[in-house]
Amino acid sequence: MTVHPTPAKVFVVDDDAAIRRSLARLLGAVGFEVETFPSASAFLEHAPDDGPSCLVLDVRMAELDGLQLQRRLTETGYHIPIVFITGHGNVPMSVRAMQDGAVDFLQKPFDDRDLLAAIERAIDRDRRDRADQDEIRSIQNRYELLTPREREVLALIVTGRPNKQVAHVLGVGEKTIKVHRARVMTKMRAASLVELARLADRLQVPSSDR
Amino acid sequence: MVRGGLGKGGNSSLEQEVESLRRRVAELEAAASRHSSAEQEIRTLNADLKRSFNDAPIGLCYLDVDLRYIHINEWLARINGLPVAAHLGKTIREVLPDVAPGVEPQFRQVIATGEPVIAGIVEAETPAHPGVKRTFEHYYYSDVGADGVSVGISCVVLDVTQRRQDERSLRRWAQVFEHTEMAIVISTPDGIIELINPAATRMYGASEERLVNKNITHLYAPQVRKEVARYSRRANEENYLSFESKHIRQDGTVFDVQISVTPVRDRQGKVTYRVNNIEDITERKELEAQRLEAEATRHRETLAHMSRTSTLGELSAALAHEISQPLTAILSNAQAAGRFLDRDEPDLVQVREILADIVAADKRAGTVIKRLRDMMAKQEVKWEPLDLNAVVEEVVALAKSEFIIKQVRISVDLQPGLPVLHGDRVQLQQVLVNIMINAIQAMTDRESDTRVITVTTRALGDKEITVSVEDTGPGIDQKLLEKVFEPFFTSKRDGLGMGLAISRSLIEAHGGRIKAVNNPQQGATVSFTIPVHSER
Repeated sequence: MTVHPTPAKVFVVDDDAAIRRSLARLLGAVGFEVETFPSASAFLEHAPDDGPSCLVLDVRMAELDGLQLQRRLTETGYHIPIVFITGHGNVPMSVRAMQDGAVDFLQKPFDDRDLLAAIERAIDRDRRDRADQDEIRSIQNRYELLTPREREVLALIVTGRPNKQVAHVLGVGEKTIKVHRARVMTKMRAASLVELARLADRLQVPSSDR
Repeated sequence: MVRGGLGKGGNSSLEQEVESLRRRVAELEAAASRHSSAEQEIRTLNADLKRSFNDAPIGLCYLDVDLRYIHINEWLARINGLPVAAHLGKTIREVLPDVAPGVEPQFRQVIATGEPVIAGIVEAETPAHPGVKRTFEHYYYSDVGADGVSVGISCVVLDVTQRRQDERSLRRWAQVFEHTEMAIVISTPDGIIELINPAATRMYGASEERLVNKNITHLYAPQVRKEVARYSRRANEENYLSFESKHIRQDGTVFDVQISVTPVRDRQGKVTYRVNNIEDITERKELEAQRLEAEATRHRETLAHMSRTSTLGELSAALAHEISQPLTAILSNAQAAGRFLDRDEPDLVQVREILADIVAADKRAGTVIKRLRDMMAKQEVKWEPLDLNAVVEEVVALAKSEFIIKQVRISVDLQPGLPVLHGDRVQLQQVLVNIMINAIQAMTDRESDTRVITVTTRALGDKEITVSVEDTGPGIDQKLLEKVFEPFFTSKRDGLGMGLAISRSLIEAHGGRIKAVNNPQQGATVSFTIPVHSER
C-alpha cells in the first residue's frame, strides 16, 4: 500500500445502505477518505473536490442511473474517473460504460482486491489528469500575459519561419520581431523554439500559415 | 189255378195271408234297404273317424284294460318313435319302458275309478329321442261299457317339452321383472304405460294403478316434457335410444335419470311395444361433479404452479439482483473485517459492528430466498385471513428490482383499514406479480421518465375489495379487452400467453372477477374484485 502526498478520496454512490456502509468500512480500512451518497442526484449537488478522487458507482439505481450520471458528468466537464459496480450487469451495458470512459466494471459481489486495484488505477488516472490540467492552466496563464502582437508573432514563429519572413508578413522591421520573439520566449518560459511549439500545441493555439 | 170269382167271402183267409205276406215282404225290403244305407253311413262315418283319428295333430290312442294298444294315431306313433303297427297289441310297458312306470298307476286309477286324468305330466324318454328326457302332458278318459265297468282308456298326449321350457323362461323373466332394482316400464308405441315393475313404482313413489295406462310423458318433469315428444318419435325409429333427462316423483321431487328405450318389433318391423329402462343417476351426477371439481382444482394448481415458475423466470434478473446486494455487503464487510483484524491493534469494536451487519445482510438474502421458495413450492391451496394491503406491499417489494431495472416508477395508493379477506396468499401474490409484469412490459416503448405504475386498493363497503394496477402504456385494443384473459393470448414474442388466463382462474376461484379497461388519459388498468366472504 503506497502512501500518497494528498489523501485520495473515494466517492461511493449506491442506493443500498448496507453496501454503502460496508464499502465505507473497507475503503477506510485501506486508507482512503470515503464519502457516500444514496443517489446520483445527491452526488451531483456536491461540489467537485480539489484532491485526486474517483467514483464508485452502481449502474442501476432508481431515477438517475449510473450511466446517465456518467454522461452528465462528462457534459459538465467533471472528469472524475468511474468504477462501476453492478448487481445485474450485462455485456452491452459494460461495453458502453467502458467506451464512455469508465475505469472498470465490476459485478457484485466483487472481491476487495479487484475493487481496490480498480480504485488505484482510477486514482492514478485522476492524479495524472489533474497534473495535466494544472500544466495546461499554467501555460494558459502564461499565454494570457502575451499582447495581441506577441500572440501573432508566436503563431508565426512556431511554424519555423525566420525572423525576416515574419517581419515581412507582419509589415514591421526584423528588429522589432527579434524583440517580440525574446519577450514571447520569456513570458512563455520556453527555452527553445521546439519547446515553444510544444507549449503552443498544448494550448491548441492555431498556427498561422499566412 | 182256379179262377173263379174270388170275392169277398170266398178264399178270404188265403188272400189275407197273401196280403200280410206281401206287406211283410215290403217291410223286409224296406228294412233291408234302410239297413244297407245305414251300413253305408256307418262305413262312411267309420272312414271319416279313422281319418280324423289318424290325421289329428295331437297324440291319440286307445288302450284296453290290460294297457295294450288297440288304436294309435300317426302323431303319437311319431312321438313314440315307432311305427303304428309296432304298437298294436303290445302293452305300454313293452313299447315305452321308460314312460310306463310314470303312467301305469294313473291308468289303473282311471280304470278303477272311471275318473279321468286331466293334464297329467310325465317326464321320460321315448325311442324317438333315445337318451333325451322329454315332457308329456296327457289326458286319460275311461271308456265305460254297458255295465258301468271300464273297458278301455282313451288317451290324448302332447309333447310339451318346448312349452315347459318356454314357461320356465317366462317365469324367470317375470322374476327378473319383479325383483330387479332397475326400473322397467313397458309402454305402447304411443307411450302409454302398460306394465311397470316394483322397482319403478318404488322409484316414483307411486302405486302401479296410478302409473299404468297414462302416457309415459307424465313421468317427466314438467319443464322437460316438450322435448320428450321429440324423443318419443325417435324411439320408434331407432333400435336403441339412451339419454339423460329429469323425472318427477309422486311427491313432486324432480330427479336426474338416464333413460334407455328399446322398441320391440314384430316380423314386419312394426313396433309392438317399448321397453324403457330408467336409472336414477342423482348419485352418479354428484360423484361426477365432485370428480370434475377435484380435477379442475388439480389443473388450476398445476397451471398456477407452472405459471408461477414462468413468472419467477421473468423476475429472475430482479431476484438475482436482490440477492447479490446483500452478498456484496457481506463480502465487503468480511474483507474489511479481515483488514481490521490484521492491524497491530485490531479494532474489535468495528469488527463486532461488521459482524452484526453481516448477519443482517444474510437474513435479508434469506428472506428473498424464502420468498422465492414459497412461490416455487407447489403448495396446496391454503385459505387464511389476509390483509390485501400487506399482500400488495409484499409483491411491490418482490418486484422492486424489476421496477428499477426497467426504470418504472411505482406509486401505491392503499386504502387503510381494509376488511379481512379470506384467500390464498401465494395465489393472490401470483396474480399481482403477473399483472405488474404485464404493466411493465406494456410500457417498454415509453420514455423512461414517463413509465408509471399505480396500484390502488379500495373496499366497497365491507363486502368486496378491489385492487387496480394502472400503467402508462399504449393501452389495449378495444376489441381485445376481453380476449386478453383467454389462454394463449399474447402480444409478446416469446410469451406463453397464460399469465392473465391463470390470473382470471385464480381470482374466480376466490369468487371474484377480473377485468381490463383503458384509462381515459393513457394506458390501461387491470383490476380484480374479490368478495370478503366467499364459499370455498
